[in-house]
Amino acid sequence: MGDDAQSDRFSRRTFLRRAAIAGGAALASTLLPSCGSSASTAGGTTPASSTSGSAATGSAASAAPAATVTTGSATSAAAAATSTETGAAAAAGGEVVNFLWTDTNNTRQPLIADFTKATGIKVNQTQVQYNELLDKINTATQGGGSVDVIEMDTIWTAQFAAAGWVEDLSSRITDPIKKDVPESSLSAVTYQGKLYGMPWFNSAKHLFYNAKLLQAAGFDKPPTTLDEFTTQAKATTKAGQWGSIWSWKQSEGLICDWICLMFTQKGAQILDANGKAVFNTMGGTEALQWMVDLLYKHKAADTASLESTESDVQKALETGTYALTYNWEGVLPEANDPSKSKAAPNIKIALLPGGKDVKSASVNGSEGWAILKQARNKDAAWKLLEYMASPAWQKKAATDAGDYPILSSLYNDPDLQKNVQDFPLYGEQFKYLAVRPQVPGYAQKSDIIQRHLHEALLQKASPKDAMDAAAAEVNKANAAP
Amino acid sequence: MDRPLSSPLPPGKRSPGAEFSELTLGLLMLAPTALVLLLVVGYPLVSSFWLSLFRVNLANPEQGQPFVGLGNYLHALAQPDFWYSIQRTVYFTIGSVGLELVLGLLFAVLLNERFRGNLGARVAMIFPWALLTVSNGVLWAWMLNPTYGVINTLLLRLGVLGAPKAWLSDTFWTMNVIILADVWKTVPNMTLLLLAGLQPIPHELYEAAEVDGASRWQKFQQVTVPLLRPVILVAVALRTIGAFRVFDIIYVLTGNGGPANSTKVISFYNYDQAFHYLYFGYGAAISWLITACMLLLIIIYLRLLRPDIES
Repeated sequence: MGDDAQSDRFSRRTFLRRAAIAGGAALASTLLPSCGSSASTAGGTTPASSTSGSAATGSAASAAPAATVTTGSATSAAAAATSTETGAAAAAGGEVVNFLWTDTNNTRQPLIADFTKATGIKVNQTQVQYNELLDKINTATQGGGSVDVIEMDTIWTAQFAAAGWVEDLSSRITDPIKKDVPESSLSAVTYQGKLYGMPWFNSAKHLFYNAKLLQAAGFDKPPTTLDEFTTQAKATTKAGQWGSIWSWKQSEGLICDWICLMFTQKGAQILDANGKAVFNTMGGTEALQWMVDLLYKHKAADTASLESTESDVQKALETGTYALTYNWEGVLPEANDPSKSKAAPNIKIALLPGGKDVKSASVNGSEGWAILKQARNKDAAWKLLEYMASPAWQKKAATDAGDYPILSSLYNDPDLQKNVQDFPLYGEQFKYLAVRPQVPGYAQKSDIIQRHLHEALLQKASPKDAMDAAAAEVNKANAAP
Repeated sequence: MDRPLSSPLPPGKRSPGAEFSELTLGLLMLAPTALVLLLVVGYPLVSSFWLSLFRVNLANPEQGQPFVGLGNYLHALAQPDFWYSIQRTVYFTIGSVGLELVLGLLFAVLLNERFRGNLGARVAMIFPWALLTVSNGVLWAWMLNPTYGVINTLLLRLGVLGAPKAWLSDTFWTMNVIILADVWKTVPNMTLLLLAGLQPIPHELYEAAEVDGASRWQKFQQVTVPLLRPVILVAVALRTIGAFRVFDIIYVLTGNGGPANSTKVISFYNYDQAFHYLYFGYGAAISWLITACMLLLIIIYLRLLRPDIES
């Protein structure tokens, strides 16, 4: 018995000794350079698999992107998971530019092919849905993914520039280029007087309407003021048919519509010169009230608007049972294509309604391309931007992809006027654009306003209370954690 | 080696070579796993805790990264939005796990019976679990579409609804529908666990209860449930931890935390703060607070389980 106890004690001691050795060895090996570097770049990884480009099949009703991001408990914030779709090393001999954008329909692939043919520079692309783009850009810049050029929405310019992620291109964008590009396009990529990207296309919301439904209700012209809109929408709402549908899901689309409606009032403003919220007293509340009335008092807007995005609105228009919609460009060729749309060929475009003293009010949704500071071959990346801003790309993109050129001269081009339905009307709308505030931290402010707008639209708060609460919260958000 | 280590040998007479090889071999075999765990779990845990003690705002790098100690934690606890998200998460967790437990128990008891097609039924039951959460979300999004979704069509035809309902625009219904979608997918998991737990319960106990004149319900209540208790607690504990961290189905079905933030669960709040607004230090603090909540739940479950372990 004593012998057993002795041998047990002996083996326990030995076990502890061995365990210490093994544990020490394991610990020491983590300090080896090879192991250390792999841990430090990604900060360790949670099982966070972002599937790029694997968007929802077809288009889910809520157009929800299909990125799986499993946030673990304590490891989620520390792990900016490196994007796994980074382009391969440069092909032998040729230069390569890694490009992150939203051309998920592949309509602009021939243009990229033309660029490669013209310059010999290969472009490795990652294509994602718009709602995923910001996350992907954040990951690429934080996790050190190898992305060189990114698509940059106007609402991100301030944030990216302030954070130092994007190159200042003011010296590269020379006067000859700037002369043909209107102020509104350049403002989308400008922050504190410097240019941080190349404008890609002009974009705004337009009025797309079903002329047949309006005529059947006795209107041969679309509305030019919000009151006329209400009248026409009410008249065209009946069983199986709605006067209007909107993209009022709690998302950026809701802000865009609200701004279009808000700026029908002359002198409307969202933030003052010091970044303080003034939208609740300068047009925002009236716009929200109009939206709420349209839904519940006049019952002229489909309540499904509250969960619809712009692509849902386009699909709805194409069923032929909706009369009036606000949407971005790109609706038209498809909406009047009989093989894709039941509403063909009755869909027309017009200027968005305005108000007293305001002819029309729309929102600038323009985007640009930016070169990341971390890009390895900035000259090759610049060549891509330069090619994109040239008439070769701009003109072809107008006919192939429905992109609206940044070059003013192209609006007088006879070929484009012939091939694109109502081409001059688009150019006309680009003169009446409101710009969303170019401030860093816009994403958070926009989220705050979206949530309060949505509360009022769901009748959980009065428009005035919602807007006042939103303004108070936006002002508090200026003191970030 | 032809003699096990436990055989009584006088001290000192054991051959050191043999003892060294078996113990050390075992530890060396554990070393790779220990290394992987250290890198993948240990390092991020320490790193994120360290990060949570600083104010790190990646969108404003010119502000630097000052040390704020527990400032981020206190800031979180002072935000009404944080508590609102916790409340939505608790609602989701209780709803989801509760419903799963009831349905899981029902299915397990049913599948435990002998009937023709039992095997087919078990296989069919597993299908929802095999779906990816994201696919599940997209599936439900299509079904719930107000204009061309199957749910509205069915309910309209049955006369339950008078007009098409926009489910995902309703602050009450959105969360409940998400609970339904989540339960549909995870009930198989619960069912399997409970079914496995039912196997060891001997038939003689039921027969004895019948002899004593117990009804089906009484048999269930007095025999099945008490013996199933440890399995139920384990299953509920696992599911609670999973439900507390829910994110992907909410992301797919609502994109942004739902109509007027009504589905903004704590993981989503964390995601917004860390990845949208780039407040990394604050985001790290929130993840640690979530971890603390779950540790609390685990401790509660362990306390509840202890009588069963000891017995």
